[in-house]
Amino acid sequence: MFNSNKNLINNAKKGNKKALALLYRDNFKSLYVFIRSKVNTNEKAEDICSEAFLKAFINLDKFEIKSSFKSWLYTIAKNIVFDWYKIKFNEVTFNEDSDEINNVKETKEDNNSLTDKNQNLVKLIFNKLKDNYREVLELRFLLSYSINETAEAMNTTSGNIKILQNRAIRKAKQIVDELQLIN
Amino acid sequence: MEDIDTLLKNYNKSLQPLPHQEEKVYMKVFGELPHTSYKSNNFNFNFMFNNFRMKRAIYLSIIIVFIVSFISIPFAYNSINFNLNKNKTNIHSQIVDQTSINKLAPSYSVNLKKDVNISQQPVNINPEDTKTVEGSRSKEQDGYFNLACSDVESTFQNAKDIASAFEGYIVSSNFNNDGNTYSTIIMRVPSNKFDQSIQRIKSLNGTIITENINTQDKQNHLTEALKTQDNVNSKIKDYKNQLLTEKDEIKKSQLNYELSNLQLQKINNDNELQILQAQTSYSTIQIDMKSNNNFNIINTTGNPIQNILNILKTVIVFWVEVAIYISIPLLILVILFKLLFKKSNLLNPKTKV
Repeated sequence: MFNSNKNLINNAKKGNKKALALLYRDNFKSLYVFIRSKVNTNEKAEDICSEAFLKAFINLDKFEIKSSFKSWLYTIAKNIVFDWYKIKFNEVTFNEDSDEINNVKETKEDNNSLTDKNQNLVKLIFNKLKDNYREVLELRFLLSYSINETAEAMNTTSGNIKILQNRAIRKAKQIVDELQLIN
Repeated sequence: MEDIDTLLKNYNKSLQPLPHQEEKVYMKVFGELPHTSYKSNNFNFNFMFNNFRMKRAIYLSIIIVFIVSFISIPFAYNSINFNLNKNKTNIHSQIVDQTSINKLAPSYSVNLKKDVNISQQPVNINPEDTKTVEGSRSKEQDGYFNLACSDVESTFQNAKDIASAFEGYIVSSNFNNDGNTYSTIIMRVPSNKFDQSIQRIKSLNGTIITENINTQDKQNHLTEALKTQDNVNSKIKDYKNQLLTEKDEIKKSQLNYELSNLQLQKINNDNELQILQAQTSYSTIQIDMKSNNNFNIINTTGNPIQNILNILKTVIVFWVEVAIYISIPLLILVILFKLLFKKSNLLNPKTKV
């Protein structure tokens, strides 16, 4: 039906429901994984995910076909997550009790859903890594982007991405070794 | 390094959404549940290449078709070539047959084909030969052989020798070596030596692809012709005697008229007899010979490795030939395209000259 990605986007811009559904189906999993890595609960991840898709579909006219839809969607999702963190930070400063309650709730959910030690370890690594290192690892391993897509999303060349990914992995390994020494 | 890779991959796996979560978010975005065909292949615009199994099946079938066609095309080409050649020889043999009959029966005029070399040996008909056929019955016999041989030239010579060995003669012979070696011999041997000559032909070097031997009893025709000849002769004698004694002029003229009719009948009968005697006293044998390579699509031997090598050889030779034939026009086409491309660039106003 849609011979190419360009055709698909054009049809989606015209409001073709099937094209929109296809865009959703092709990008949902990677986007969800990325958002889920940023938030603690499945519900919040689902909310942000739906919000990101809605925003993307509403503003589809602004999207330029030359660039990748995946990286555009990622930017939207990243902004929503950032906004969500900002709101959360304000909530923490104005209402400490509620924050405590939230923390307790989140840790409980955390224990239920992300019990695996490895998941906590990855989170620690991501926290300790530099922004660009973290971003490259997120894009490559969570969003399953190709080198070119990552380069496009980070506004650099694919050669740089390869070097950056290599360095990020090395740094991550260093962090893991340090953590093992402490333990 | 690999540990971090696997760690991140496992992390990715652990964060993968469940199917109901995908539906839930779909519901939030589109305000309805996804279509029943949402996950089916039909829904996917490019399902054939997104579906791994389908993709694998398509690639596999393409590879199989490629391999099968790569091997079968040379053999298909060879078999078509072989059949064409076979038809060609059959047509050729028909022409030769016609000419040999013409030679034997000069009273029926049929145009001779110029491409056939007819030997100038005269046809000697011995009426006694008609009685030498088995059971004292006269038969018309002819044989056709299609031979595939490795050395056409030597087999051609051996076949020629058969005719002289059995006191026969060559009606026509044709030897061609225009890429495909093939030859045709038409010989006539005495009817009483027909079976022996057939045996000798069968012992020639090569494989007999077609063998066709026809026998037709001509005894009745011959005896009838002989009887009518006797009758006509006796009638002629009678009329001649009557003519000598007859004095009435009207009756004389009637007798003369009937005598001339009888003489005409005699000539016709003699001709028919001559043809019959020619047919029965000598038998025609035609041998078509072709090189083994033309006939055998695969030169099968007892050795399986040798057979595989033969198949490979046929395939490779064919594709190399095709490549040679195609490369020159292809090269010309490429040069032409390049020239055209250059021209179109020159026509473009943006191009800097």
